[in-house]
Amino acid sequence: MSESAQHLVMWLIPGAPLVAAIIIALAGKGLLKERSHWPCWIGLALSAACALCMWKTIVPAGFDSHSPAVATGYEFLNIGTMQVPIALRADAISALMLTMVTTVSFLVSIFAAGYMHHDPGYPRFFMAFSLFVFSMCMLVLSGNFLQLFIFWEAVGLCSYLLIGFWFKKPSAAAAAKKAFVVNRIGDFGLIIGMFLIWTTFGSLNFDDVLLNGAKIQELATTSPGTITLICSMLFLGAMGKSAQFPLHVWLPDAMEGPTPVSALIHAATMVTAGVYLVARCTPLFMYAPEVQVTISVIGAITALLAALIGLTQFDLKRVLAYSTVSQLGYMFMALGAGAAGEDLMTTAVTAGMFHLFTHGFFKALLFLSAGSVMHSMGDVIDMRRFSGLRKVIPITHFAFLCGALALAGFPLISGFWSKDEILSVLNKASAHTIYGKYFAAVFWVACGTAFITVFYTFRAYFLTFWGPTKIPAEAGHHPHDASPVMAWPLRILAFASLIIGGAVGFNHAFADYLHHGTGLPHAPHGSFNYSLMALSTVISLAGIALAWFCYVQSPAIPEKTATALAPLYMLSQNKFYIDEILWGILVAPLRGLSHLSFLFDKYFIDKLVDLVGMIPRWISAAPRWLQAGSTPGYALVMWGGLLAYLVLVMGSLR
Amino acid sequence: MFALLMLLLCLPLVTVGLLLLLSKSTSHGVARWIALSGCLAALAVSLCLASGFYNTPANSQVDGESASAGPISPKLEWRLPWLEWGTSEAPLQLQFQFGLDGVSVAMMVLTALLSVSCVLISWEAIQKREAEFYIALLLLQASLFGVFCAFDLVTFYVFFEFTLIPLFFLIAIWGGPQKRYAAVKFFLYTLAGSLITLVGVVMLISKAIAAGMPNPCSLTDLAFWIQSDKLVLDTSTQITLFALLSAGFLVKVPVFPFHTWLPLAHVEAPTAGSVLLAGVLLKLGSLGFLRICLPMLPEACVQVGLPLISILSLIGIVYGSFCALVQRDVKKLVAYSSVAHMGFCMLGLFAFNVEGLTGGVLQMINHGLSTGGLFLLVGMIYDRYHTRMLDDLGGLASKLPLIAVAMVFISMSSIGLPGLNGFVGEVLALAGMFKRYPLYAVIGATGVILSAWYLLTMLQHLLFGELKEPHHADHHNHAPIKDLGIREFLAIAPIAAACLWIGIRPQPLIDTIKPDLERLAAVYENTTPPATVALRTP
Repeated sequence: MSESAQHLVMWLIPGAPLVAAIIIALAGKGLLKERSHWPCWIGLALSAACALCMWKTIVPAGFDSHSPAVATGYEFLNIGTMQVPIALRADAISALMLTMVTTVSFLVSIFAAGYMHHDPGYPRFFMAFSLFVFSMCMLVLSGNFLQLFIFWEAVGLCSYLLIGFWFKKPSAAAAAKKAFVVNRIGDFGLIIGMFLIWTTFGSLNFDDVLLNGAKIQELATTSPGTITLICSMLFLGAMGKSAQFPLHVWLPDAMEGPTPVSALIHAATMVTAGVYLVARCTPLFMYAPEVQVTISVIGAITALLAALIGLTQFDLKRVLAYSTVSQLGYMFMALGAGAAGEDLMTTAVTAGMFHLFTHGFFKALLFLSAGSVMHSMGDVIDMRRFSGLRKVIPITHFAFLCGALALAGFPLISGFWSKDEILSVLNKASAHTIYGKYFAAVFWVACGTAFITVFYTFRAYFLTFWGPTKIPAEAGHHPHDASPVMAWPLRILAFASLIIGGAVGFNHAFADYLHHGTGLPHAPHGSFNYSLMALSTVISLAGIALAWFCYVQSPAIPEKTATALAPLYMLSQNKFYIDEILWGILVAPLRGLSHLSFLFDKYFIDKLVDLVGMIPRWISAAPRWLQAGSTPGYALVMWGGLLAYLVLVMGSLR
Repeated sequence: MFALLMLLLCLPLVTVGLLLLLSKSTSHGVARWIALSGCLAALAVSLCLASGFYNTPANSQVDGESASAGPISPKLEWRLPWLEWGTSEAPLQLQFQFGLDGVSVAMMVLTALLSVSCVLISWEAIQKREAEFYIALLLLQASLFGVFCAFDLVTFYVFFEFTLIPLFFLIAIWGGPQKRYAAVKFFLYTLAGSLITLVGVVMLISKAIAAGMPNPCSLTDLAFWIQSDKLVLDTSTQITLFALLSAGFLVKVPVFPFHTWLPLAHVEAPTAGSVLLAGVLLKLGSLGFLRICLPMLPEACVQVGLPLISILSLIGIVYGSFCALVQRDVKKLVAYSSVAHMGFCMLGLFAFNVEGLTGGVLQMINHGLSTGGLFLLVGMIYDRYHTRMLDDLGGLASKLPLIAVAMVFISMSSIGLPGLNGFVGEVLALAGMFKRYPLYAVIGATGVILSAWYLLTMLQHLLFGELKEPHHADHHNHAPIKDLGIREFLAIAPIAAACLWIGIRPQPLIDTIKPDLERLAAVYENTTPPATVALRTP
């Protein structure tokens, strides 16, 4: 492919959605109205086609020389040693992310046209949606940290706009703000990490930093503290965006947004940006093993905590949201396992990215199915208010089942392969002499979480689709299944969720791929650990069986268990009170401090200023009586003056 | 070019003359048209000036003596001898010295742009003594133009001080309920600061005369003489001078704890006054540092300025944000946010490296655009509801969607969202400071979280949620409350466009200001060892 054609194809990936967003912004309200989805559809289809083309032809062209594909842009900043272009750079990781991001976005956008039909903000929705896809593509195609940061925040903006899409709902407005501010805490870390990289490496380009193995190694021996600091700061950024404990609090609240948004942004794509960042910077993280262990441990805590919370939620979307948090935790567990030796590094990144890839498909599917349930139930999402829907909405039922099986890691379906790789890499890491004990613990947490995951996923499935048929009044008399425009994306995603893991997992396609142009070492060819596979099969089957027993066979059991373990149940039901704890230790004190600051300003600093202003008055108060306007007084002073003058004159005459 | 510059300086005065001549005799509403045409003409001239400046090759002298290549050497420079005395051996003269460097051109265009918006936003709001209002506004504009192109101490100081007078009247006559108190406080506080600065100016001039400088007032010559050690100021003298000179600038910026006049003045000022006050006037303080303290007093800046002013700015960033968080009056909230944002600006300037200086100057421009824009929008809401209290308003996005869009847009620019202007300035200012003192930049970066917190809280209460309007809205306004009108659109759209343009393509603006700042940064290259080893690997 000629160079200009290559540039065109690469620029079209983010460019087409951007043009769509601009067209909808300008013409949406007046001209397009209910047709506003067309520019978005066309733009995203074009973007997906170009991304596939790039993945198939452009990026592999550079594999032999380990050079990424680049498309030049323009000079963004050039001042002092801060030289930053806006350009596109694609290597194996970017190509992988982009194929997932663009295809899922395209499918979700089709679904959304049906889901958002008749909403007064229809054009606004598709404008923000296209803008998001643009920003996400630019993020993944960034060739330097500043550009990455720019679009890192831009996806945050789109997320803000879309969470607060129904802004009349106070809860939506609050959730949008919470998401943005919590993300900013992470961004703070990212920006400091970026400055550190800039001052240590003198550049922000990935090629100068991540691919500069000699410099990294030199740093690792001369000042390992710097690398540790850089990596911790970058990970703080990733924690915010990828909702890791304790910064995960924004993601469940983000479910206030329309369901397609939850599917795309808050499950499949944006929230994985943190995973992407850590995977991308693994050449640096390789030399900060303490940080990597921390990443694994935080991932494990997040995964377990979120899974435990997911057990008792009744809001279908929230169950899925906690499951997203939990699955992101899995990805971080895998990424952190690279601490256990250089040969495990690429395997760890592969496992994390592979899970990101499959998770993108099946989680989007689960959310869209939940959206479809919501759509037919008249926007009711509380699982206590409907049940037995498998006959009522068969297409949705089938789609949800496929997604649930994939999430549960049912043998030979997507999640099985990727989850298995994570378990296997953690298992290998447990053999490490220094950090092995941590990874062993993380491994067992991962296994336990896998079981809980299966259980709560199928709890949601059985509660919604099995049992006696119950339909809320809001749904009307004849709840309808997904219309074709919604059904087809569900079918395609269901198909992808079933096979995509096997298609690439079976022959370890990823393991042989990710080291191209990313600075990662070439991994030894993977092999299957059959005992682990057996273990995860048992876990998944046992979880499904238990859920079936509890929620279909004898539905009284959950109630009894809940009352028997009331304190634990309440803990999970109330999300371990993390929101309240954060409010208590962070938000409330800061607000108090703010009030104090303002009082200090008003009653101390400003009064001090007024006090200084009073000083001239006080000084002038002393001689004021001299000018008080009384004639005898003036006469007295005059006589006194005259007398003094006379005395002086007489004195000098003598 | 000189003719253009003079035209720009005189245009507001000509407009004032026209207003004086015509407004008395004719009917209501003429004054604003005259003022608008005057401001539009000034904007056109300033844009011509900017394009002329951009196309002028560097280091070309148009008129006057050949200037030095010291830390201050504007691209274009004109000197008009004013007073001459002294002997032939020791010539001594005072000159009016006008010049244009990147900073002045950028600030002049900003002033001209904001003035147009100010006239448009005052269109209906100002009914009382219309002609006088616009006269004050235009006089303010004229003095602002003057201060940006002044390159000698006397002219600089005169214009610097003159800005107080029109703004005093703007607040005292057309202000809110506490206008007298606010105007007097604003005037006396800033005047007190500036008088101390005057002592510093006189001291600096006398030192220059003592050293035998022929033009003791010229900023360019002073900077050159100091740089080439012809005029030696020992450290203690520098510190004294720094303390005296910075007094007025600190109040003007304002740096914590000299900021309390600002929220009051903003709350009481009419919208146009707030826009110019926040948008341009505050920058005179940072400009003072940039033009006088930084190039003339490098040792004092490093020894005293860096620790003192950086820490005060950091306190300003955090403390200003905290104060903004609890305000119920939107205008006061934006006023406190100014304290925080100007903290970023000062932090950048006192990093003394080219990244930080550029960031600081960009922050001057960006803060002018975004805070000016926010005050405009708050003014529009006030015109409709006669209140700015968050307790009385809510959910306005459903009633005023376009104003809401503009408000979110400008707030995002103020928050420093990448892709809009605020980000570039903040990130460069912080990066510069990170190179100098990483810890300061880390503390400063918390302001990034806090600004999102307080501005988004404001948006949440003001625009989102259930619609809430004050009860008396219907009694005040007989006409129904409408969304953004065409006049208001014209007031806010250019600002928004500028925000977007700087955010996406900042390099042309950076190229405009870069040469001046590189020269200034060169003064500091040897004062402290560079914090980093620049490493370029193949």
